[in-house]
Amino acid sequence: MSDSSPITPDVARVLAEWSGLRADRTRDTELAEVFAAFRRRVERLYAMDVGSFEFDFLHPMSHES
Amino acid sequence: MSPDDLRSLTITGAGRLLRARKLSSMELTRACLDRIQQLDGTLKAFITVTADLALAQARRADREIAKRAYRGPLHGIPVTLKDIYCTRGIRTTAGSRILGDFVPSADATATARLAEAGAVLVGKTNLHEFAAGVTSDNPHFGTCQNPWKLGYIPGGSSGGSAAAVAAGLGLASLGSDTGGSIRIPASFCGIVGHKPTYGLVPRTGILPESWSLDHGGPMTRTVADAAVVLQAIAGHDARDPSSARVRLPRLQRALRPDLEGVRVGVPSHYYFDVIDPEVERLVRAAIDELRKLGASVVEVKIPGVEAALDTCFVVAWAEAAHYHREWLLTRPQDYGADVGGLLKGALLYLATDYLQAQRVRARIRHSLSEVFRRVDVLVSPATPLPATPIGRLEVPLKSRTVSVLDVGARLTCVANLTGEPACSVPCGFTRAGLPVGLMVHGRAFADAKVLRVAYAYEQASGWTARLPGGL
Repeated sequence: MSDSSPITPDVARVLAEWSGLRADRTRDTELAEVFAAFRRRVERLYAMDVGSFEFDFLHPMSHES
Repeated sequence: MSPDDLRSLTITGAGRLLRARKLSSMELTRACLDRIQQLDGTLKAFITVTADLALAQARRADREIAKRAYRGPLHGIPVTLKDIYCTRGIRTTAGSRILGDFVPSADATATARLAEAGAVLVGKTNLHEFAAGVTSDNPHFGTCQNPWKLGYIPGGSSGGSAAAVAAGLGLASLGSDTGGSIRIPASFCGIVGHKPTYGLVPRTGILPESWSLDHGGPMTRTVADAAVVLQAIAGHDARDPSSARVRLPRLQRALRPDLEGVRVGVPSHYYFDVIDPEVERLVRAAIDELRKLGASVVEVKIPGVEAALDTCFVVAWAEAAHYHREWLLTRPQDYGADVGGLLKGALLYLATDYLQAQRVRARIRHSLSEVFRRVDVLVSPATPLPATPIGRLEVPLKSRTVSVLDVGARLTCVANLTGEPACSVPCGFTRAGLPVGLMVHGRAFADAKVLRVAYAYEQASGWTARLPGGL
């Protein structure tokens, strides 16, 4: 989600219910902030160059072998 | 012995006295229980005090030692467990209302190994709810205080364990560390905290936060004590799929007062970019001390490490949200505000987000493995800040405002991503009297080397001899 489509409390409610959470209007504003902060964190990770690195956590100590 | 003498004892010191029968486990255990009764109303370091069990175990230890059936350096030693380690017949809450009535039917492997070593359990310690934060400001069991300065956090998530060791309410504790939860409170409370190599200490019976980042390990007053405890709890456990088949060397034999031939790396970026000036001054002085002890010190670059915190955050919260999903859907009101909010947010991570984080993690691990071809250990601050006031989620640092959670875990989280061992050892105090920790980070399964460097520094500096006043 880009900066041009901010996560409003209404959007947060839809997302929360989509992820299975019970409806709770009092929580929507707070969740909107959490969701937005989490997206910013993920966007920073997508900006990292990981072209030559595979997902290898199933062998966490493999570089030692 | 006077109460002050008993309070200053370490495991190695007390062990010698117990074995020589100049001190009884009952005497030592009663002293700890008395201090808990006297101080824990203020410190809130405990969730459950196991006085009856402790006295029974101490009585048994004294009987066995009298019959020369000495089990080793933990025999008769009072210890505590973060309330995330399962204890058979004793409730294990994880600092939560969700598990407020959970009474396990079996001990965690580490719990059982401590008991086999003859340790005496005086209680289960307070923590950040579900080990998912750095303040140990627990909405269900009370706000844990820093023994060095009331009104300040002890760090977290193993805050009760650190406060208990620092205040002399037990001679050691077991903590858990997902992004720094052993080393952050060790740094804030002026004790030693060692996060072992991933897989070295079995996690069977330690309630999970994040399967690929969680570690169990010792929190003690000295490095030698950390070695004793780690030796007792490490070793393969077939019930833990992450458990490594590695034989740990005799750790205490690796502890030497010099660092001749040891290559020490100091990160040239990231680790000192966001830092309290007093912390930097103390850590730079500690690095000078390592040089005087015979180490060769070089600057090193770690490409990609600036993404460590984001990576750890996404992996940890995504895995935690998966573990908590059923409770989040059915009992959302039973979570505290901060942990509940973050877990709900993490339900929204996409599988692709998680995979991207794991690939960045692989990149960071690759960088560290390259660095460890050139040096034996990395040294840095454990935390860029000392303990912060209770109730503050953000604090000023130089000309900016920083999140206590983000800055607290900024440096420690690197070794969780790589699975490598890292230890925080006290390296001085700020003008306000708050402790600062030096972090020693080594290559996988080189726990002995990490502890050797921490030990040599500790012996030369003498900081661990200092105890919190006014308690």
